[in-house]
Amino acid sequence: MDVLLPIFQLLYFVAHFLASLALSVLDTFHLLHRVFLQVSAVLRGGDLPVLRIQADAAQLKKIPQHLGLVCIGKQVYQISNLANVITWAVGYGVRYVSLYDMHGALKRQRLVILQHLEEMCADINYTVITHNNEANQAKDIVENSRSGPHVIVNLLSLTDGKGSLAATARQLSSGTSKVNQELLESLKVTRGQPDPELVITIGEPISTMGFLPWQIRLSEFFAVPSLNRFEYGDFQTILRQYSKCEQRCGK
Amino acid sequence: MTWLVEKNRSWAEWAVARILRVGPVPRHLAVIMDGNRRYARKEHQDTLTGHTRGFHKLTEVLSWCRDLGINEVTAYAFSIENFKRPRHEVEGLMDLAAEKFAEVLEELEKLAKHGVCIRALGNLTLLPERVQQGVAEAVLATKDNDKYFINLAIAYTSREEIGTAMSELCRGVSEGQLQASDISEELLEKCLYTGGTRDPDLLIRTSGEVRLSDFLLWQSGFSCLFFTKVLWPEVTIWHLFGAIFYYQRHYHTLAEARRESLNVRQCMVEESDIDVCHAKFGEKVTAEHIAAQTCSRTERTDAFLKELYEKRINYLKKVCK
Repeated sequence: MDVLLPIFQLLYFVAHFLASLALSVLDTFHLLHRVFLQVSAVLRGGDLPVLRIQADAAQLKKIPQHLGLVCIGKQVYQISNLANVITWAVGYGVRYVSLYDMHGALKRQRLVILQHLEEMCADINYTVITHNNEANQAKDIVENSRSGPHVIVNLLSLTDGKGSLAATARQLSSGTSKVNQELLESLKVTRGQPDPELVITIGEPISTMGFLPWQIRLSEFFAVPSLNRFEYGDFQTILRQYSKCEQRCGK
Repeated sequence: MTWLVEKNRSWAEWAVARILRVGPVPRHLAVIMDGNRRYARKEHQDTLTGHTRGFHKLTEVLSWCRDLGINEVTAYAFSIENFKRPRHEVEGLMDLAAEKFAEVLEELEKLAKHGVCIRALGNLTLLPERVQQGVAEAVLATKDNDKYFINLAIAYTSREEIGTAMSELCRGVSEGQLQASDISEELLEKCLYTGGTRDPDLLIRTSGEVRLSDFLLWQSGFSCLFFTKVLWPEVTIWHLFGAIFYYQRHYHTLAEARRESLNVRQCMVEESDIDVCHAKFGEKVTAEHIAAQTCSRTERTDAFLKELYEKRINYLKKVCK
């Protein structure tokens, strides 16, 4: 019997307790800061002007074409916040957005998402693609104006990752063509779309949670602790950091 | 230099290790050893010195892992993309690999005593012959050790791995060992170079880069990702402690997600068995039919996987001669 074990157990719980305490204190400060910002925004009047987003975007060296948003745990109930993030991203020039949660809750919330997208920005056309197990996709189109830019939103869940690769393997095994990277590229779930260059994980810890294993080869990962604390400032910081990332591609 | 570094811990390190071992500790750690060249530049030394320092650091990390109870470590040693680097650097890295694998053979007794098994992940045929031979000898000589596992990803990319696994499955189907309906997520996973061993619980990437760069894309699905700014040769045991502490704070979320994904996977296999039976017997499917289908499917896949494993071992044996 180890005499010291109870002491180490105690220290273990104390350490984790102190960490939790420190984090909740920080959370409180964050909340106060946010309330302060909101109040001052109300006093100044008006919400985020589109011009500001465009000016911020113009300062950056590179902007992702495809943005992945991975919801970890129970983050999916605030669709309106998610819709805000999409608007910012589109304002920066993102043309493909992938929304992911492993349980498929976002797929079930399709109608709510559509509604929010419709309400948001006037001159953007959205195509919302819901991927299903059997190679067929449900497409919903939100057309706001003919002239505006076109944005594709993918709704994804666990089965679109490894499950879809297994389905591809099954499909290829009954054919005669030789397996190579180009062929697999043409059969991936998000075929015809560039791979996400930037993935933001919402919630803790940082993990892909099974998000599109084939496509995330070179994605840069950033994290925000929760959806209801995801502010425009956070988004701006992430895109700034992203634009500084250099990829050497093995060299 | 040796593969098994044994160093005494300071009392503080020892105490923290003991405290962390009270909670859940990852059993499989994956590392992307980034920053060797930047380290060399910083210290005004040539690139290869940086890589050698990187290897020494790896052996040190392995000793920390043994102390903490992490019994499997996967390290990204060399990517297929790295062949694009300047020729002298690639040559130098290959020499380093050949040298280190040769050292394994000198230390066999000690490795066997500690139960250290060394495995190589990747398309070894892309390597120069001398390195292939060294790798094969080291892997074969340690394959029966079963306490600590070191997986070195060498000439590896995850996409190549998935592609190769799919070609193996296609070959199995065209040769009649498998039926197309036998292919499932689990079978594909077992055909990967990692062969369905435990997925990494914690993945650490050093030097401030925040991407996976084609490393264990499939296997890291429910791993805790930990990105740190420190360059690989400068990593200390305290960085590892930090990563484990972070892992412990989120252990339950990840464990639950992993369990759920396995359930989904199981459901899909069961559904596919039922579909096959429906196609065969029409409406008159009974529970016995389904059980028989499950049984014959398992037999086929087990035989196929056994053959695949033997094929890989035979390749290694052939290279050795």
